[in-house]
Amino acid sequence: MKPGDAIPELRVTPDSGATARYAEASGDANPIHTDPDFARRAGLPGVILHGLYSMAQAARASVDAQGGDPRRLKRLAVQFRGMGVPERELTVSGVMREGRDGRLLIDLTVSQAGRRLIRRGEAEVET
Amino acid sequence: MHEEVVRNLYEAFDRVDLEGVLEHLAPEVRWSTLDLNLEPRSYSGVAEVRDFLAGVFASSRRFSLELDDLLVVGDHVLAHARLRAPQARHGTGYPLAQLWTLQADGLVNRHRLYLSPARAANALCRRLGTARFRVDRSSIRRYAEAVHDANPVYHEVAAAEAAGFADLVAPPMFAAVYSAEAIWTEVLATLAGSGPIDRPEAILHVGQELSWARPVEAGDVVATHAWLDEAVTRGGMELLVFRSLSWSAQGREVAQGTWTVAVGGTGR
Repeated sequence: MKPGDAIPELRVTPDSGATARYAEASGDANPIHTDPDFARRAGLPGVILHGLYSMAQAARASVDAQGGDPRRLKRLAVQFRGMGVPERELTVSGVMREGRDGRLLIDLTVSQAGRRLIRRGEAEVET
Repeated sequence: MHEEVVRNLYEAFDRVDLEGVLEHLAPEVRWSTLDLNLEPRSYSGVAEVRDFLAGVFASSRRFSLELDDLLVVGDHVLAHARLRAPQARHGTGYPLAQLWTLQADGLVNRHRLYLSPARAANALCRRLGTARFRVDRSSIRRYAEAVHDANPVYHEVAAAEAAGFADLVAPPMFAAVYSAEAIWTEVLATLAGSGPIDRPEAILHVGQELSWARPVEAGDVVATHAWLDEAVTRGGMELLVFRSLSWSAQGREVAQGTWTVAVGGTGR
């Protein structure tokens, strides 16, 4: 891939159990991600996705765009914005740009129902 | 700054420049090392170190010291180096690990030499607040499933081996898993005195950066040290910026993280 190219779009729909599985696999036990009553008391519509789960989708799209070799992803920076919810499709899109030292940068966004969950995502990959 | 000081030290060693080494040492430096017969020796103060190094440098034709890799954590710099005979055309040299501890002014106040990188890495863990995570196949598979990642190098040992790994490799974002204990302990310790530790919903993760130096595989033990780097107030919210550094059992850098958390706000 070369500067200006879009990476293949990644689409994934977290099922209703996704936040509980991510909490267990990652050790992040904040109840706003797993306990609907707690989340509602906190003023949220229901449980929300972990930011790092959305970031993991951006990382996956970046690794997949490099032939599935995880060694090629050297850096990933994101800002978390909108709150993601389960059972709605996430879309990861990205465009390649020239980086330093022969590396490429990917400008990434992760969105759900037209709202950005991650903005200013930037991956640095070895080609 | 600390990294540059240590690089300068190795360059001075390479030039057999005694004064160039000594100028980086604090007057009360403590220097634990091995002599040329590999007997443990310890010296206190620049004068004692000068006498020892003068003896080493007098025989410097017998070897050279090549810097291989550096791990910088707070005031500590773990240097991986190779001792080589200058005439040797073959071989990789004898690996040594040197743990340098620097003062705020950039002078070295402690030097320790280890023949085993793993012992040097352990020494680093003992000197810092560190959480260790033992990576196994099931934790890698469970994580990859939780993020719907079917890449076979995360699930099948044969696929990982075919790709050049010794065992299942962890997805890069598995860094969030092996860093979790160190980083969240630091976050909670920071919030305990000040803020809404009883309101998890008021603690928002607003930014994240990770960089990876080498992959993590099943069987690895990863150590992570985390610290509060910066606290700024912006728009009624307190932004806390934490940093983490993770290294392998051999004291090699694995990943670095910058974790930005907003406290006290009501939404994004």
